[in-house]
Amino acid sequence: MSRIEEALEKAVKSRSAGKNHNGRIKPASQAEMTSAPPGEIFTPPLGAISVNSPTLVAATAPQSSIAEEYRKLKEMVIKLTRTDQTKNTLMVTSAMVGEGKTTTSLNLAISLAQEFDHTVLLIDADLRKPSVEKYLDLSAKPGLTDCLLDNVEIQKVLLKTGIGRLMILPAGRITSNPGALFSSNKMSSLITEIKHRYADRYVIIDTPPVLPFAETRTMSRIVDGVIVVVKDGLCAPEDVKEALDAMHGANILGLVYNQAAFDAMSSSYAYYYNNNYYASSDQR
Amino acid sequence: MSVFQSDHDIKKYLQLAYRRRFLIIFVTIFITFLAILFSLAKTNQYQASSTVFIEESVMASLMKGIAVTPSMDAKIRVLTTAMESRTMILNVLRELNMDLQVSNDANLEALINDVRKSMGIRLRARDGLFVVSFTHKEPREARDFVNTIVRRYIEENLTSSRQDTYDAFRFLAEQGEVHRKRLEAADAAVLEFRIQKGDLLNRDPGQLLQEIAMAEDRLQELTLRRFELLSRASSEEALAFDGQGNPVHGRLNRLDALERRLGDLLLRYGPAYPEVVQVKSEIQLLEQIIKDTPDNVAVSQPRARGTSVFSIQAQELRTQEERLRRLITYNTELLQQIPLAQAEFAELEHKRSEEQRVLEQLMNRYGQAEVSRQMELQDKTTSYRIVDPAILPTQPVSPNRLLLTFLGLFGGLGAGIGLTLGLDVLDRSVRHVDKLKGLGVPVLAVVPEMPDPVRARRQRTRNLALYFLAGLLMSVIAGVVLLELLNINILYNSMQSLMQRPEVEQALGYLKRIYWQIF
Repeated sequence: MSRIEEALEKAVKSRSAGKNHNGRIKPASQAEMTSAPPGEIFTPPLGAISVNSPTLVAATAPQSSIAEEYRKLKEMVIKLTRTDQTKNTLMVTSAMVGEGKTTTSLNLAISLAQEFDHTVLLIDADLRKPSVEKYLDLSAKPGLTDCLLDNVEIQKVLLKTGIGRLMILPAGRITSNPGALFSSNKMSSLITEIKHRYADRYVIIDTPPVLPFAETRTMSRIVDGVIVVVKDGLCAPEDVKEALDAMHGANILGLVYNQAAFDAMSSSYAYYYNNNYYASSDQR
Repeated sequence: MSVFQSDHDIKKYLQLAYRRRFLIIFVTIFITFLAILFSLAKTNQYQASSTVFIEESVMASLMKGIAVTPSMDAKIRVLTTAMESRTMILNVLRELNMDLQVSNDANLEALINDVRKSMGIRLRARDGLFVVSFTHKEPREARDFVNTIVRRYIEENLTSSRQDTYDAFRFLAEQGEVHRKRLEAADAAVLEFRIQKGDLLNRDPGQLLQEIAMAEDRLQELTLRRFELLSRASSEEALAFDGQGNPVHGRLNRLDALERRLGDLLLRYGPAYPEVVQVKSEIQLLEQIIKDTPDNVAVSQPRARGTSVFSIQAQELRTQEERLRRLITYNTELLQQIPLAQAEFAELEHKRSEEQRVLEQLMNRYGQAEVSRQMELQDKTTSYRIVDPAILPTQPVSPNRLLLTFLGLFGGLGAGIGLTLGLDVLDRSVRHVDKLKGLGVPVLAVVPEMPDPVRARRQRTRNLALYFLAGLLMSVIAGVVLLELLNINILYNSMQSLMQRPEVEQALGYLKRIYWQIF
């Protein structure tokens, strides 16, 4: 190795160290996480998060036809957000309770994280009914509410899942007034901060439903894109329309039609499912 | 295309029915249970029936036309009316002491109406059979009622039929007497008319006409002859004739006659008419003669009268003419009277023949009635024979619990399917991805239902439990049906005793009141 080469290497090293000092956080790599001093950032042991929930198909059965659907969703999201690098915060919501927001958020996040290009941060902002932890079999961890109430630093409560480059900001401890907390200025500024701090990541926010609660409506205008989950046979088209109208001004990327029965899909989908096209290819 | 569409629809509905299978099953079971409870709550009704044979003996056909026997149809009509009559029912009720609980008239009326509704009279006119049945909650009372009413009817029918015949016989006899008198009166009237106007009836109008014509010819002839004679007689004395051809004596009279004639003629003709001119000249001539011989007028007249042979002959002829004229007048009058008299006579004759016919018929019937009376006396034509007397019914006829149960089963199935379809229609939720397309937001992904083994297991367990429960309930229904088929009344008895408990009765009364208040 020549002197010149050694000098160049040094320069590169010193530049990257300087960036760190400027407060710009690099995508949290595994090495950094493990080398961070204990207590500062909550760091679960490697591989501690085991994904057992069968609904997280993107992780458990990546070859399945349903996982393929989430990959399609991911492609659509990437396509819609690629034009502008700053469009990285996505909110997943629905008109009513129980339409599958969390599953959709998780599966989308996992799909994105499995790609080598993307680092993903999933925020469980459904403070009324936090459920990301349940899907991931985690016990109660400090999270979003702790950041909002006790000014805990975000990076201290981030969880690394071990699934690609997926990190999670859990909901945190249970509070008595989740609505007020959610719609507070602090929340808005927190989201804005995250958006800017993790500009090179996809930030996916799992939120409460639109129609029963007021808080999501404000949030929808802060984020860069909204994905609305509609469950088969749960609410009427008018409700979906009402929810969309309630989020007037937000950038609605599109709908995800969830838990569709075979006959509820358009004929081309049904054809493939009926013929068990993917199942047979899986077996090969 | 349409075949595909309907195929698709059927598939869709089948899928829907499968999805809501538990709703359908449990609605069916629920309604079947309701039907079973309802059928158990209804009191058993027993029916007793008796078959009666109306026998028409050989005698009836032999006596056809001679004696009168009522037709089978008439008998059966009478039978139905008579058996359902108030008197008959009331008598039977009294005899069987079924009216003991009746306290007032309204109750009695209601009881009679109930009995009427519970009674059934089926007729088989072809076989001459009729079946009287009665439905009651007490089998014994049902049997007794039928037997009593049939016995009573037969007894009363026989006596009343006999009475009828006697009455008819007596009536015919009375009518016969009346009509005989009327016939006699008609006969007398005809005879009297014949005596009074017999000549009129015997005259021939043609002959009369001929006579009149002949008389008129003769009259004309006589008049001519008389004029001839008169003209001869007035050769020395002007003799005038009036319009009838009667001689008018004296010149003055002649002058008067001529002046009258002139007046007549001038009414019709002008002064230049020849006849007018002639009459005028004659008048002038006569005035001239009167002026010349003014004194011999008075003496000449008496002298001329009766002296001439011609005059006497003319007189004679005139008498004959008068007679002929009278004859003509008489005959003409006669001719006018003939049709009237004949019509009157025909009417009298008709009346008499009518009376005669009625009397003949009456006498005929009288003979038949006599035979009928003898037949009824000996009870020869019809006899009522009780083929099957009513026996104590052991099986209730109503309610038909099997039928009610199956009705409940099918009705429940229908209701379940209806409910499913109704819910489907009412369900406005998004059930197809196409429904989202109108919202103006792209559909990014369609995620099929996830195979969640935990949930699937839970679902399976739940389904199994539901199937088990449904099977259990269905076997209960099957058990009820089996008990019914085997005629085991355990359920009925326990239900009835339950219904008779005061608290249940009270609750039912309360429910009924609520029902009436709502509807």
